[in-house]
Amino acid sequence: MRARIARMKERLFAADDRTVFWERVLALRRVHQEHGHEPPTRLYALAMREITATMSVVIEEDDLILGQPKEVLLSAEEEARFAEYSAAYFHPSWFYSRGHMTPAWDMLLERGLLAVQHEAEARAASSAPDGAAAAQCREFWEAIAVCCQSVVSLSARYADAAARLAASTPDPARRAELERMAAACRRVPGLPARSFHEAVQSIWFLDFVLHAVCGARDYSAGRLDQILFPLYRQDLASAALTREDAVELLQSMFIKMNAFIGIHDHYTSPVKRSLCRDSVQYLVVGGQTAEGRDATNELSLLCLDAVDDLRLKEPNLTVRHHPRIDRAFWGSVCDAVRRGASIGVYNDEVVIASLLNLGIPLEAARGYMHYGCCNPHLPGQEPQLREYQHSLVKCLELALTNGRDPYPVKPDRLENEFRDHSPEYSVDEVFAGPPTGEVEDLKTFEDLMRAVKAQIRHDVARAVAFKRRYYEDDYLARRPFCFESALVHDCIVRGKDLNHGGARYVHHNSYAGGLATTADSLAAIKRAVYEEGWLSLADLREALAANFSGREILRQRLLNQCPKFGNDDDEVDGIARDLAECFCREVLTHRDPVIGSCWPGLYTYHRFKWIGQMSGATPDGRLAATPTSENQGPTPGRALLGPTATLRSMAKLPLHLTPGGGQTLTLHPTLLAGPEGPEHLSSLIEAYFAQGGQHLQINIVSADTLRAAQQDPEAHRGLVVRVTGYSAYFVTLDRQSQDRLIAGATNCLAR
Amino acid sequence: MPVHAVVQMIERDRPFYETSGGGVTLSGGEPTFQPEFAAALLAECRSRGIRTAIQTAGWCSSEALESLLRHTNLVLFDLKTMNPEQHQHVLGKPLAPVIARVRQVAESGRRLLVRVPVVPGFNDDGASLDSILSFAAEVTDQVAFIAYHRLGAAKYRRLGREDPMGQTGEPRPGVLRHAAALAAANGLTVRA
Repeated sequence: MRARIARMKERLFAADDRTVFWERVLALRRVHQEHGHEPPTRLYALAMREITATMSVVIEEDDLILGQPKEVLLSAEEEARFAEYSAAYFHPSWFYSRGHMTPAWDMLLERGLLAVQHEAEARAASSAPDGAAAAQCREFWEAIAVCCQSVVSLSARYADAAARLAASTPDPARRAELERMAAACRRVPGLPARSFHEAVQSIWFLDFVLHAVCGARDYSAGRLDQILFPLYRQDLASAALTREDAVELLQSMFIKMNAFIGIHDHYTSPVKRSLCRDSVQYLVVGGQTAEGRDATNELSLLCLDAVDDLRLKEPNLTVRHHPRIDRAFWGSVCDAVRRGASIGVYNDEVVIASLLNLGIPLEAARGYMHYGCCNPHLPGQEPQLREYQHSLVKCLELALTNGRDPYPVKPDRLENEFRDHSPEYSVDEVFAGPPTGEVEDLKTFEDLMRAVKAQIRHDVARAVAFKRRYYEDDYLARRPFCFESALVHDCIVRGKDLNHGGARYVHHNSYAGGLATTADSLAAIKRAVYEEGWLSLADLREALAANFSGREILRQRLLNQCPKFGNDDDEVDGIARDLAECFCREVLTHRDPVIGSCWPGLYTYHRFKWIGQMSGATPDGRLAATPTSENQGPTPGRALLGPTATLRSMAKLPLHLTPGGGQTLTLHPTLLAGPEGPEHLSSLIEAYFAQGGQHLQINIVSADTLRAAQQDPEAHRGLVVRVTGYSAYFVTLDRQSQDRLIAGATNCLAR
Repeated sequence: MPVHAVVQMIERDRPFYETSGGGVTLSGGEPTFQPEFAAALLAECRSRGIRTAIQTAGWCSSEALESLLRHTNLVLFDLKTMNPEQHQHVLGKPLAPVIARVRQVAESGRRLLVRVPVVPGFNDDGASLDSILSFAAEVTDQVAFIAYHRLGAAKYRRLGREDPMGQTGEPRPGVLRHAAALAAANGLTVRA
């Protein structure tokens, strides 16, 4: 790591999360006071112009890439005004972005924003003069032109500031850098990028404008190894750039990606007052070209090295794996992972197959990627995120109560993300299912499965209708325009905003949560009620309603004498597959004209916590309001036969139907120690993928996890640690040994 | 549990053997104590194309070992000391037959990994380690060190039994570094 990067990284951690982009609030207030009466699309464009024209230009001493908001600590008087203004001008509905998308970076580099602006102006000038639709298109093009020009003007102000600074800089090396930056900002993002440096500057500048000015999170850096490669190769060949220079430029950008999102974790400590707080920024490398060849190149490795060397929260590196992937690159990925780098790996074979099944043409499907978190899409060709989180656990509850919600509890405190960014989640709804039979009608296990599946199908259809209403009446109605449309293919030609029919593809993610908890519950009922007969459904329902109060022996039998998903047990795994298949097939039948085609996923993200909060006790022995299983994986503490058995169970799920979602697997560093460690990790992942696995995020278990396991052993029963020559369950070791392993994990992660 | 039932469980992980080049290891207890079952299981694995390994301390007849070796690719052989008196006194058995079994493995042409438990106060001095390693160098080219650990202490306590090794601690890191250097001096590769 060059000294400059080390200094920038150090400053990052010294930043104060209490700072605010105050100029933006003030600009929005001015615009609204002066132009609040304008039509919404025009008002948006004027807001964009006002912010970009009045915000400060910030250049820090080690910068090589420019563009950042001026965030300041407010005085007491300003804090009082912030409190007064924030309701109306911090996140106003008339200047709103959903984020969660990947701009068409290739289009930005090849055309530049001025070409987009000129095309929009030309179309506005030549469009038919009358008709409501034509007027709407004209309004759209005019707004696009104003926004593009605003961003280019802001970049020109950066160029001026860098040039002025250069003139007053005595150090010739730094002066040359500033002059280079001034020239780059004068050129991009308005015009096509001609060098690697200009390309990185162009992408970063837009990324910064989207995050900080438009104000949203989870924009992705895209497939940088593909997008930047032509200019990288060109500059390397002409000796205008070295590999180390390229790493330094990328790392300069990566550090900036972390600066405006805050250092605190907003789930636990929401200090930062910023619309892009905690933005998860995916960077995708590897994968295939549109023709199906291995897309890995030198830049794939360079991105990996740059990220691994920095070890910051962002960007989130994702690797697309396929059987023809460059072995040396793949080996480097595995080595980085086993040293503790946080890297997600997607299986191209499964994701592309699922996209083909959804009707996406092969070449487009090969261009897929994910943005945060684990959301599948076709970069530069889709609107912003649309999704719905289902709870299969709730479907089971409804099936056991003939469609009446037995636990109509809502979480009293929603996590901040849902308050801030996702008003459309399911938590405000009342769950009610169709009557699928009272317990005495459920004479066989097949009857029960039929009831659960009917509840699942109903829930999917209900949610699609719910979301359709939400989009039509609320989301789309209140947000007719956003600047991102300038960077999504087809929007300009169609004269439509990306969220209103401008983008080529539109989809909606339907995610199923609590799969393993539901499958474990059904397997327990199958064994206890229908096979061994030591429990009746009516009795079980009473025990669940009482949250197993006074029924601890029953709970322990359900926990320990019934099969659990994640142990390669065909019976319970088969139930999980059956439920997942039912869910996915139902989702696939929905293709709503408003919300798009529905893409199924087996996924919870961290929402398993509130799925748990909204669910009563379950027949697998889980207590009310406690977390359910996560994503595609087993319920924590229930998989006891090691990682291969867990992966075998997961591979039985119909993952070939789900382009999105993911799964984390936690391993202790000692499992992958030694020179063969990367190969062992590679074998584990590739064997899983060969069986149909979709995604893995390997976490080399941290000391924190081990400490959590000490605090709560029941939830960590399956945590395997390797002790020389054999493996042991961490929670069975004595305190002293555990402490030693914690010390070992700490050492292993420190570099 | 019959052989076919065990094989059925082993077969479940086949995809992982295929990508890793790994296979099945019959570990402790001591597989040579159940030579018929172990040999049948190893033979069945091999006939299915699954690589096999055994872990042994070598306290068995040459016939028993031979019956296993026939179906084994790799032998992990634990060797604790080269001192006959110490072997007899601490381990309660003569050393000579163990040495004969090590040589038997070497002559069979199977891959052999000599594993040396490093126990403070027993074999962690330079002379003891060097005598083990110079012998190991005669029969193989790879060796592994297993640092004595105290992870069993909790179990002794829970069972209310006295810990016969209660006074022995874990080896200092310097000892393992020295052991690795001695191995290298004897031309041995140290495995994880």
